Amino acid sequence: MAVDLAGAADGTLASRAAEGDERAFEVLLRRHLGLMTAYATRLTSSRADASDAVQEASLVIWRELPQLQAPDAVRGWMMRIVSRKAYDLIRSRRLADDVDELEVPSTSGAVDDPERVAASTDAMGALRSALDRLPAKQREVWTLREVGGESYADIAETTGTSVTAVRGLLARARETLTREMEAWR
Amino acid sequence: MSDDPTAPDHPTAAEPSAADELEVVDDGPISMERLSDYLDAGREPYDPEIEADPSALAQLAALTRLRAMTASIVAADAAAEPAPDPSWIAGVMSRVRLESRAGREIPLASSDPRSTLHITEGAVRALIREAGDSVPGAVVISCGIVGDVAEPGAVVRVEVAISALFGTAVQELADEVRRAVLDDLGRQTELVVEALDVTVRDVHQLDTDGGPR
Repeated sequence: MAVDLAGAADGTLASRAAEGDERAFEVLLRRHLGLMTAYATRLTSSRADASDAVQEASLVIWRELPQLQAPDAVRGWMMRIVSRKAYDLIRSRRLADDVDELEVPSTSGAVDDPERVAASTDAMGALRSALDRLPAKQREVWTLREVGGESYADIAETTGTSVTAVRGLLARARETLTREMEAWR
Repeated sequence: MSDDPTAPDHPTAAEPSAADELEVVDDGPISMERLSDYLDAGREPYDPEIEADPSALAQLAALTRLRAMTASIVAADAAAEPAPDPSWIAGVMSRVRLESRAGREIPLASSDPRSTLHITEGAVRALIREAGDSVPGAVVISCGIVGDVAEPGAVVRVEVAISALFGTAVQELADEVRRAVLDDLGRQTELVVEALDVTVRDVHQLDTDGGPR
């Protein structure tokens, strides 16, 4: 008889998956797939890239689960792997483009979703637009920090830059966002 | 940035109106980087200079609000994600199965001396999980086989950690799991189990924490 794992705690699923339980892994993956995809979409500004990044991340998660020290904290750990994989994609896209467009605001992905454009009459919509207008690097660092809850050191490692640079980007993103959101307080 | 401890506090005589208090000052004496670090450190240790500066406090409040709003946006995005494409899940799972965790090889006696039979440690773990899960109220969290399983007839110890359904008699549940696992191992493997330890490591409610959190 297969026990219903849908109600099992994250830590239980992570431990079982670490010991080879593929069914537990699938339940864990399905449980957090929406969040992983939303996070990767924010980072890459592309649903196709997000899907690829989450797929790659899923395999890394499966592979590295046996090394996870705190199974109860599996969700944050999964999110860090998603951001690493998303960033690998971002970096390879930039190399392929072969131009330094890092400070050019992105106009792809979430921006052209008509529902989201319509929603900018409220504060949430305003923040969505403000985030979309940020230079790509600032938006990425902001997302890693505020959505992923990652440390400056982790962000520096993921993005291949220094902690000082991360701190500067984050401060600029925060200045811009607080200024743009003043009208909505 | 003044570190002069004798510097007077920021003037508080001019009581700012509620509106002024909320106004974000771009060029305040306290840099955004310093405020960011302070916020990220959980406003610890207490920084009297920041905590006494109305514009810094307003900036901190704005940042805290931004953080909460960003979390809401992503939560809303996550909730709005369509159900995963079955072929996407199937693709990931088939790649996962290519990297199954077989673990050690455990020999089985063979009537034919020219051939050797093995069962993988991964298969034995699956067996233990299934046996433990079959006991109502128990969910196996983790299991392990301690000992030199590669040696035919070696004596091993089996460790099983379970989660118990809230309200079940824990001792009886552990005993039942022990019996179920021993039965199945005896039937389907040749392991010589000298001890089987069942630890109740967690208690769970019926399907209360299911679904995305």
